[in-house]
Amino acid sequence: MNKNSEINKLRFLLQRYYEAQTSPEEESLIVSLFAEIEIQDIPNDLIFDRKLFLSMRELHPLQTNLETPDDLLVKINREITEKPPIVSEVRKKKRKNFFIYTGSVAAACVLFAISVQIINKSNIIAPPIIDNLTESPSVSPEESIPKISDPLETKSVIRKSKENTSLSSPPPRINQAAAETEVVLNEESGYIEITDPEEARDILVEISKLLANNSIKTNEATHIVENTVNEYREITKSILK
Amino acid sequence: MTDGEFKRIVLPQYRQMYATAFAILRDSDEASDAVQDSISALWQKHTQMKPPDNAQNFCNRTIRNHCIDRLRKNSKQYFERIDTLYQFSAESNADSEVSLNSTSAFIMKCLMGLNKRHREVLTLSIFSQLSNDEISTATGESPENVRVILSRGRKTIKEYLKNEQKFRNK
Amino acid sequence: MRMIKYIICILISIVSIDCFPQRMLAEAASMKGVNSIFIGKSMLKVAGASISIGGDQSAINMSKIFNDITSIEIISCDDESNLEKLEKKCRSILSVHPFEVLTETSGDGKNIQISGVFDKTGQNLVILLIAITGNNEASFILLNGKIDIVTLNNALYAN
Repeated sequence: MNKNSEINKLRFLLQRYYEAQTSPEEESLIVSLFAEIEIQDIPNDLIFDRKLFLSMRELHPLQTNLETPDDLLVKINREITEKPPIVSEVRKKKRKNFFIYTGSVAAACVLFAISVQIINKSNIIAPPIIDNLTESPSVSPEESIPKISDPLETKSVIRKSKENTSLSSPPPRINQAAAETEVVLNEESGYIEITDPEEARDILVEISKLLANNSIKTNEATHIVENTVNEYREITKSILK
Repeated sequence: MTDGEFKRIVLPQYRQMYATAFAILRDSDEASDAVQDSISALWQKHTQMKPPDNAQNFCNRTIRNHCIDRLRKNSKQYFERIDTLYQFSAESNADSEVSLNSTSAFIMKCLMGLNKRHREVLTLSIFSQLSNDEISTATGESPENVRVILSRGRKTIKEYLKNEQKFRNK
Repeated sequence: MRMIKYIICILISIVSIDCFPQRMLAEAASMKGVNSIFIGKSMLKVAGASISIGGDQSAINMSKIFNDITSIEIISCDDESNLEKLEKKCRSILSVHPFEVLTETSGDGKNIQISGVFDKTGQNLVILLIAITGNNEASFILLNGKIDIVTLNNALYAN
């Protein structure tokens, strides 16, 4: 039974061997099995395999009887003493890498923190958007006045205010600046960058005038509304009396 | 690993490493060089390594990998050496350094008859007893190719052997 | 692991770079037939400081405000064919921000709308837009910065 099991095992290993699925250890096992089993116990179909394996064993010498060269250990010791281990370089490199990584991460974090600060400072609340840049101009102050008030008086006020503070055209220097003055042209964005302080000052003056005119008109409109409301109250009082 | 640990654990394995190297490279000088280079490389890095649990397996694996690298980089010398050693032996039995029985000589003749690629793969399997993966690394062939070449080669040699026996019997 | 570290560093750098202010109406400025002017912070400081020379009273009152402004962009167009495109472009660019109309006046065929974007506190204007349209012309004046409402009111109504 033992021999049969060995033969079965041999057949299994041989099948794997010819399919090139055996490891060197399994091939060694095949050789040892063939060496152990008596030739008369080997089935006929395995005779050539036995011959093959025992012959191939000859082509690969046994490692146990191998003699090591005498001077090998001397040579190895000489190598060890001549070449000290590379410790410091590796450590230096590791340290350098560590600093590079840490430095870059720290710099990135600092940049991130600064950018977050910038975002927080310029953070905007979201009131309802009123976007009517291209819509027709809103109702003029004249039309918005309630009919109950004295239209003549208010109209004259408005006419006066119109005369005094006529809507200025877009700052005249803007188009002129682009055409005449020598300025730095930013080719990338199409902007003309003002480098002359006098030019910049004139533009600021124009912007100030615009804002001031607008604020005056707003102020006047407010006054008109106040006057109208007061007149309405007085008329109502007189009627009630 | 300290210097003392290295000298105590790794260095005594040099004999076994030599035997493994010789089994693969089939040349004494080559095997000695391989062992020296391998131990020298381990010495260079020993401070960054922990002491191995099984020194024999560790050193065996190291020298095997080193030898396969050598084969990969300079296989020509190895194959020439095998061819010279065993071809000569196959042709003349009496004065050769390596005496072979007729079957071994016949196997050598079969290998000579194969194309270069198949012969290299089978040589590494038969003479150096490398695994399929190790042969793949040494030759640059894919593991599947190595398996196919070995399978066909072994079956071919067996067939040739059967036919030769039949011819002799006749 | 090394690759992941590099990618994270690059991403953080990109995010931080993106946070630096850019010219809002740059796309409109590069359109055909459009004139555009940009005044940077340093020029504003110099011009604002010299505003008392040759400037009128309203400008002198506003000089404090100009210190808080970081940039001024002015886009204008008097080419009829490009007016509509410019207005649409500016509208699309500015619609990202929550503008609030502060005042709007009209007369002589022109409409002047002043809008602003407030910060979280509601006390400061971060963007002030003066849009002048009408009479086949359009101008958009954008002031970026941090303008205190109280200071602005005092400056405008000082007279």
